[in-house]
Amino acid sequence: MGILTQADFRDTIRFHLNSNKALTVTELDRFLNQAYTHVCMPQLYQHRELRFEYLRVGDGASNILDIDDAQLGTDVAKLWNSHAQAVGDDVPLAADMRLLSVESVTVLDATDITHPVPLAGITRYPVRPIDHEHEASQTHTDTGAASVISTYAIVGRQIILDTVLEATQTAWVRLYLEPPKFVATTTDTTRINSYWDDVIVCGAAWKGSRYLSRFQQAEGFKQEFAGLIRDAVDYESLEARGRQVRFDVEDRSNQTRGSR
Amino acid sequence: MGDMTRAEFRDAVRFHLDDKQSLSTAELNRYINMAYIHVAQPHIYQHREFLVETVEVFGGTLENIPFTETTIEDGASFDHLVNGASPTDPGKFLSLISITLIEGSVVATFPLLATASRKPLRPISPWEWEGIQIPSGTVRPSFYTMWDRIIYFDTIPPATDSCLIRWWGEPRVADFNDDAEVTVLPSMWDDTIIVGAVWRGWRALGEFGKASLAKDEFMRLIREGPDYMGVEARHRMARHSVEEFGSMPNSVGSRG
Repeated sequence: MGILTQADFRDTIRFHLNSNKALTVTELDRFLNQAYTHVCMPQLYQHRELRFEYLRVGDGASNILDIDDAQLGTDVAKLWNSHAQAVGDDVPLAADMRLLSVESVTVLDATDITHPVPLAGITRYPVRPIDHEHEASQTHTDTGAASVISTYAIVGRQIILDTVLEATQTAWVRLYLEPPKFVATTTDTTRINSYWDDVIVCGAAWKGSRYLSRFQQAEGFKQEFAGLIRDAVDYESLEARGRQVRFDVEDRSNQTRGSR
Repeated sequence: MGDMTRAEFRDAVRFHLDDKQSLSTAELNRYINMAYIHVAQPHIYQHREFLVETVEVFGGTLENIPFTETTIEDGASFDHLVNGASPTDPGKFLSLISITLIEGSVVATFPLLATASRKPLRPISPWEWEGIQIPSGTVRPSFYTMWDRIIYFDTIPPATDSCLIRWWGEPRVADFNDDAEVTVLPSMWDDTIIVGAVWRGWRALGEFGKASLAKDEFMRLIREGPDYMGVEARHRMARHSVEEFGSMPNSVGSRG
């Protein structure tokens, strides 16, 4: 989580906006939340802290999984994220349930599953994503048998599987949810890493300057905001580079051993 | 650790910002912290001071380890080592470096058994991991991946095994909260942090031209920072070259 509190954010955003005393706390919070929401978009950066898993047991009749706010709110106990709650605590914050994007869908031949999902001995089927044009040309079936689901499409706030999810199966969906916004608890911090505090300040200053019709200043802050996002290397890329280095080392080591 | 205290940082940063009195102490502290956090990021520079080792015994029932804020950053479940010391609070998790299986040795705390057999596990992506069926019963794993803050293995590791997890952290001390505090980084980074804070200061004051120059200087100082691990790698390469040269026919190493 971040280091700056909501009160810190308000102070520094106001300072960035020429210490404008006319700006209300509500306006400052609006700029703050707009910038926070902006940097949480998965297309900009895939934050570990916003990754959730969601479990839905099939009903043997439908191939559609609703993932709208109402459904996620109803299935609150089936959502899980280690940042939102402790292990074993299955109740996320109410405001955690706004969907940003779906990462993957896996079908499990089991129904009695808890978080984090234990998978030993459970047969599972990674399901391949297809686009909605392909989905529209499919004829959905109910074979009454497990293991035949092979594709899914995201259509609006629905996941459409190619066959019915049986009552003996569970869909395990990995998704990104929007974090709760700053409201009135001034000691709140962001849920994402502290590197992003700085980015959010620039984003809020950009949006605030624009609001005040200081377009030249807004452009400056926007460029800073975009530059900081570009400079942020995600940790998985770093880990992937580590994988590459290790594989290279192992490959070289194997070659050396083989040539002896 | 660094030489400059937070109070000294603040004086230096304010001076760089034309001694602007409109900048409050709290505001300057924020710029200093932001610059400190920036240089602490492992993709910017891999500081020895932020390398953490964690040891964990497998339970023999699950193929995953929750590597969460509760278990890691509050030190509730694992034993950690940072720069040779065992802190109760090893800092914030940023990124995994490696996981090594310690075979047949239940090691719950440091120091690790010197004679334990080890096996490095291969990291794979979450998508690759999704195609693996996890068998019932315990088997030594070969792969791991991470989703959210859960480390998943390809099998349930035996309860008789442990694992050594190496990761990059962001120590909580990155949140400078005392005027007498210094950074945990070598003192050459003090200068970089000042310039990083000055960049943020000019930006806040709407002086984007000066901010851009300060940012360029900040990035240049980072690029030119002494990479001790790189120096050591060059030493390794050089020594290997010497050894290989030594084993060549007619070389010193081939005598006798």
